[in-house]
Amino acid sequence: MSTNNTVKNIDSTIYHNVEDLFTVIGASEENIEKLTSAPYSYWRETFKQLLKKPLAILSVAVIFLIIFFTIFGPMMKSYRVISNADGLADIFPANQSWSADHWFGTGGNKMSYYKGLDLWTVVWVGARLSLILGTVVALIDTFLGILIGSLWGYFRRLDPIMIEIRNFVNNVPSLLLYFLLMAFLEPNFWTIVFLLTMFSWIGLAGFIRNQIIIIRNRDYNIASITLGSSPKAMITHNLLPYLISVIVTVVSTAIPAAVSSEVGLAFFGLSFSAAAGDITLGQVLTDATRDEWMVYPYLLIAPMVVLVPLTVTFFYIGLALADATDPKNHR
Amino acid sequence: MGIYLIGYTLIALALLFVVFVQLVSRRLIFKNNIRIQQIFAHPLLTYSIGRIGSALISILLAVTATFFLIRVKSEGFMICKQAIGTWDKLGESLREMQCIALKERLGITENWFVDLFTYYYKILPFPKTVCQMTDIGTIVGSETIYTVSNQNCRNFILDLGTVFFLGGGNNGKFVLDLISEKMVISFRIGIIAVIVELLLGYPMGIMMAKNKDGVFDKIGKTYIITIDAIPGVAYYYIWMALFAGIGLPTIYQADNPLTFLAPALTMGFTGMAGIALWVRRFMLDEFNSDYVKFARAKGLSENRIMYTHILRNAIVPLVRSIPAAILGALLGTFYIEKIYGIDGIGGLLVTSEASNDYFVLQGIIVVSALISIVAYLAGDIVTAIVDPRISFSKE
Repeated sequence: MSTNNTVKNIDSTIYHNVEDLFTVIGASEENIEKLTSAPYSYWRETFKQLLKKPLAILSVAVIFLIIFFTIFGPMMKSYRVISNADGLADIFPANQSWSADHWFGTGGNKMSYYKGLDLWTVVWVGARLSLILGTVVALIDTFLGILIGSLWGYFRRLDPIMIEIRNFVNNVPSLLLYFLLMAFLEPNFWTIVFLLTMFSWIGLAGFIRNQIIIIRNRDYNIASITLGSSPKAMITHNLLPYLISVIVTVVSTAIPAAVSSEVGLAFFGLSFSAAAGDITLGQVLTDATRDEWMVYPYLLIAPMVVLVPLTVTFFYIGLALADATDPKNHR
Repeated sequence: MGIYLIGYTLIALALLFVVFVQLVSRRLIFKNNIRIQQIFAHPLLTYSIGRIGSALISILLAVTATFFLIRVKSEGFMICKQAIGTWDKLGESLREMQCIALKERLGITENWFVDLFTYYYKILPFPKTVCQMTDIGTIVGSETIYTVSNQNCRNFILDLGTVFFLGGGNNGKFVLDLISEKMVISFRIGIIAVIVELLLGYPMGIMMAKNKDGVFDKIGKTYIITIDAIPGVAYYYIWMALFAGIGLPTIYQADNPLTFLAPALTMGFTGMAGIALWVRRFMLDEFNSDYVKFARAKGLSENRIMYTHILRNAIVPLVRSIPAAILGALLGTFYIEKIYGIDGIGGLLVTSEASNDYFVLQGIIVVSALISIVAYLAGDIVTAIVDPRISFSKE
């Protein structure tokens, strides 16, 4: 009995309330030809996704703040930190802690170059060069990585050579090669760029290669090959657009990676020479670690305050972009 | 003579074995003997042999490239100037004579290719007796008299030469001895680090996967991003400051095991982040697979699914890195060794580069290449053991 009742109830709901469920809006001849939803745009959707994350917005803000200070930070205090033909650097009493005059304090007694210099100016001047270096290295890395990686993934005959190169880079301690190469090279901007790119492009190339191998034999690519697409068209039209999200991520994580590598080089004294007027965050940090930073912690805190947010925010943006640029996450 | 006989026999046997395996796996001999086919044409075996073969080529390439770099770097009289204390007081002809004598003692000739092939011969793995030449030529009037005495002879399989310029009481040692001595120092700290990172990294990854997007996951992610992003030197110092803050000794002393803790924990807490990241990712990948849904449908408890089903599968791509981590502990970390003042392999590399000691540098390259190759191979084998699906065959 009860089941029959239920069935009747359902029936009555379905058959008697149909009119209540729908409202008639009528037909319009004009609207038939129009799309009611906005057309899909890849980049617009990407930014929409990115702006949904408050941390990503914060990171972008921090990056802009850092870029602002690398340009205008040294101007806020008109101290000179580099001696050159125009004049000598301003030397103050060493080991002064934070104060209104010296926002990050002054360089310690045992620091080789930064002794008595205003650390606020030093750090921002250093951050400027580090950031430029990181960007240049990241761009070259990405260019080489994409070019060689896509060729490597597409033409499998390159495998033996490329794997041998990768083994070489993995087997030999890169620090040793840095040491050996720096024996011949003068430390200037382009040699440091050369050193930093020398070993990092292969990692990116290998990454792109793996991605390309994963998608190379998808149906749409096989169809394209069957229809007679040239390798160039295949790579530029079928494979790389698919990898755009990977590439964007790689670029933005390559910048903090390059900044970090420079710190590593500087730690072994292989980076620029500060005396020649090239200050980087790596050198300031290294020099601070040689001083009594346990007694005067602000020496170490000064470069860290810039270095840590700089690398972390760029890295986070990279991760956020990885999510946002993936079309699977759109809508 | 005994060791020679044993050594050559072993090498001959190994070569024969390789040839035999190749012939069997190509089905040129014992075509119909299924037993022998099963054992000697086992994919894992042929794969390993192929892998070792290509690895040897990698080592030769690494040795050759660095050989030329080191040679170009210390060409000419530089090496003599460094080694001969009275260099500045000597005249031109005396300098040249002394230099030639020194180079002869070091086994360095003018012809780079001769030296290169000599070095290949030295590192070829078969037994050879190596004698150190301890005396340099003495100059009497206008003539140089060499009194080369062959003291201190040893049998080596891998001859890496003698330490000459390193200083610090190490000159005259065999390079292989020196490297193994330093390796022990690096390894004592490295192995603690590996244990710490494995013991903490796996549970951390599992916990993060378990409450995905929860508080613990967010904290863990922040930690991983921070460790990944900021330069190694920077966070090593942050850790050092923390350890100093809680009263751990931060200056390494070889005879005080308590001082091993700070460097080992620094290394361990760093490595932990990488492990946790991958454990989390691989476990989350498995979450939506059919067997997990089936296990849920059967009514298994969430913990049972987590630990016996998901972890068992997620761990497959992860075990590959464990042998590399353990063997990598032998080589130490350059930065941590420099920061804490540990005289391990990292320190040796830096000092030998600074003092232009060819053989030590080349030795470190050979040893580190060997280690990385063994680690890769061990990783492959461990993966094959853990995962029954992997067969290494050519499809």
